[in-house]
Amino acid sequence: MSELGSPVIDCDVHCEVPNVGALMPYLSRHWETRLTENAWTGPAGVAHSYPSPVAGEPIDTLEKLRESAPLADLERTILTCYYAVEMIRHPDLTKELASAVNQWLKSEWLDQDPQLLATLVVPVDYPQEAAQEIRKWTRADGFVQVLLPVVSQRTYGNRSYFPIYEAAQERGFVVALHFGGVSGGPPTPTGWPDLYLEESAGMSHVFQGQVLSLVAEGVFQEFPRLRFSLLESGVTWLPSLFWRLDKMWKSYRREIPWVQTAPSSILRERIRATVQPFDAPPDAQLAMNFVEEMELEDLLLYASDRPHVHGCDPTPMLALLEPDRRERILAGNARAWYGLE
Amino acid sequence: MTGPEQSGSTDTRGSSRYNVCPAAELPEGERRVVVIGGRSIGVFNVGGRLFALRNRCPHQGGPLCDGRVFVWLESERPGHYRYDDDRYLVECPWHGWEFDLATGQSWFDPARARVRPYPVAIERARRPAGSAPGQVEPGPYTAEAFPVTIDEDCVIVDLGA
Amino acid sequence: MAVTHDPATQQEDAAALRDELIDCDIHHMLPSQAALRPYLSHRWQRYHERFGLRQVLETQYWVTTTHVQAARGDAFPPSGLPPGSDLDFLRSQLLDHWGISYGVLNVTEVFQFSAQRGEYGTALTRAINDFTLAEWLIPEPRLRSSIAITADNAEAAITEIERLGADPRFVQVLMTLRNEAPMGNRRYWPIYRAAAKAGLPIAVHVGGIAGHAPSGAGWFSYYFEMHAGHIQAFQAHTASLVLSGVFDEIPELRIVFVEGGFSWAIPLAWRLDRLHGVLREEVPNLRFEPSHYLRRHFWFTTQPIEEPNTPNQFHSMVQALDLGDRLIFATDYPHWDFDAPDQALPRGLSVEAKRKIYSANARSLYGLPPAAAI
Repeated sequence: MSELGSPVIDCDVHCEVPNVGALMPYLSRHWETRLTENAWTGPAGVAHSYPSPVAGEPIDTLEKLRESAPLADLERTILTCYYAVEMIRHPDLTKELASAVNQWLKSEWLDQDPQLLATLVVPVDYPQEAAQEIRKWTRADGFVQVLLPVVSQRTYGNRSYFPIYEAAQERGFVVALHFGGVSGGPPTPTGWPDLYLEESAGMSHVFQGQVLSLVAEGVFQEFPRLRFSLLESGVTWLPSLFWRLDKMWKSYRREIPWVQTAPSSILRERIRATVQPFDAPPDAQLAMNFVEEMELEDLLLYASDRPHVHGCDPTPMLALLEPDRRERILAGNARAWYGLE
Repeated sequence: MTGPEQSGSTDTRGSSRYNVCPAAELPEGERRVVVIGGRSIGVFNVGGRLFALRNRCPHQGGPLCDGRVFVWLESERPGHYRYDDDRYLVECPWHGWEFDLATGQSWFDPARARVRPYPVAIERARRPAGSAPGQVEPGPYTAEAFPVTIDEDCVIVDLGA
Repeated sequence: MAVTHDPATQQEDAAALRDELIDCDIHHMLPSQAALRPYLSHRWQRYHERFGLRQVLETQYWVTTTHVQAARGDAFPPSGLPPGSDLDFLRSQLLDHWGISYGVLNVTEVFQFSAQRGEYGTALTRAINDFTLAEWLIPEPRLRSSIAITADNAEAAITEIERLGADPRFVQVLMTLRNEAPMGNRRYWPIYRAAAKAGLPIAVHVGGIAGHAPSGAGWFSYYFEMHAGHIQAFQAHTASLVLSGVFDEIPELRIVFVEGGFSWAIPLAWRLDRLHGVLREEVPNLRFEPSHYLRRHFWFTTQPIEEPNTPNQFHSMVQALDLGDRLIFATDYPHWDFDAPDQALPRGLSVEAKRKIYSANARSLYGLPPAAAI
């Protein structure tokens, strides 16, 4: 048993590609040649999303993964390799890099340790190709979800993304919206932020816009079995959004008539959110009061989000819960959500 | 038109049935909002069918029966639109909450967000000439009569017990 | 379809409201574009008629929204004028009906006029302010107004603030929600200095598009999304303002968020404080943690009021950031998402808490004298 008295499923852990060379075995001759001739050292997007004060020590080997685990009795770990492939504009390279990362995850991580699970990356701006990439893999490979960086070129409810959702639903993969990404314009509705702090704080409102888009565009009706995980989102913006969406939905039936039940009830069934980081008062009791008052417990999935530095730790808050409620957040919700029974 | 409530004409038995207006004054596509039995009630003629609802939205008290009437629209998936021409909704002119004209149930929470519907029909009734909505016993008639009365088809709303 | 309206039901509701009521967001409107002519030079009259408004990005969504002219269905005046454009009807249906002691006007056209570029935008905002003064503020002593400005033309904006700022009938300076840059950006600081010098808060009201996609991730498809998504821009401005250091530079600066709700501000305050704890070295000159500025420099109109599942959830949010002194009541008349003064507030508010929201907070914010007759 971990010090929290329960086995743990860590739903968001970041492994890193140590260097471009690690991906070369999985690239075509053309891209092996071109990336070598350009002396490419890796995507700029990763450092853009995680500059050094928040990046932490990269986890690029299994050994580092094991050493970094903050809690004993880790039942499963879901790895995410954010390689910012969506920031590559070349249609062939973005597709091939995504595929290379997935192959690397499979052979260097999933095949090395049966406890590990992982997240697929896809060329987000080419939904048909993304769907093809998704269909190369199954849950038996150890993949459980598909990564969509939360900042994108179109809001994720848009029908142009439906091929991705169709493939994910077919394969039983969850779709994960994760901190990061680019839109091709400023990551706010009203221009460019000056500071990383500002942009990082603003990521939570981008999550809000994406969630409301998924609701409005009928993604949950078109794909009745599709589920979304919100990774590294901050979480506590959910109640305010639930209230606003439920209220406005009653007034807009004729514009979006396929949304036949309240958005909050749809979302409570179809989304989950990882608890690291958790935007709440530093006092663990006050944080837990908020969770209870706003009925968030069932939506929570434990995650360490290592190695990222967030200035908070969910364990004191979780330690306040009775064992059976704690266990659900630490592992039970994830087992059900990702079909890991 | 609205007007002061009529406390009754021929009937003294405390009937809950009220004469809103002559049927000819509520043709298809029209509505009237009247105060009867202490309540503001909207009476509608939609496609030849009559409906009556309490004129007060349960949300913030808006004048529900002043709102637009729509045919019921349903959809199971984005991009698909299906109309049920036998069902109508009235939309509160304030926040747009829509209620089934026949049942008074909101589309979004039929069990808990609703307004009271009232039975309404056209019946032969007698009323004093020039009268406003009133509690009137529909026919067949007794021998008792007002000095000047009109015997005609009227829109009768039943406010219930 | 002939419609008869029964005011009897609503008279009861209005009479039940005993508190003084200050309405911090009313949208009056031009009765027609021709009504603007007296306030424009000949050159701009002609331009307005022949070329017209050039920002169409927001209007692309209006065709599928569910409310005609965004108005309450019963706010179309019997005179046949557009909703909000008939002063007599507004007096009767809003000010008199609810016993409003003061109302703050945000003219409907401002959201498009202030987004126009160059001298045209300057001419339009000046004209709409003159129209408001002549045809609304002077005839109706209960009314106050925002000063419309072109936020992305600082020089013109400052000129307008200096022209009208001393008139006590103008109580704040209005920026629309979406501009070229987040509000903490230094290009806007001269505007804030001018407003603060005139003793005026900066109000931010939903509307306007400066050219950026409204979500930070591309364009929405539905007006529902645009409407629900306004909260994104408010949050971007909040982060930008508190982190920029503008409140250390201009301590008198006050920000009023109009029609954005408030409950999103609580998790954002927690998020900003947490991130500031990790990334303090990026803003070494910021004197206090972010939530400090949020508590001291921001006000929020109540409409559209939060509708959580229980009143306690509402109260918890207010208390979490101690916003009881910062919520100011608004109806948003004549828009369809109007909040009825006697119905909108949740149960469980004390008499004193209601008094603050209905009038005391706005009186203090805008420096309004006691109402003549209550």
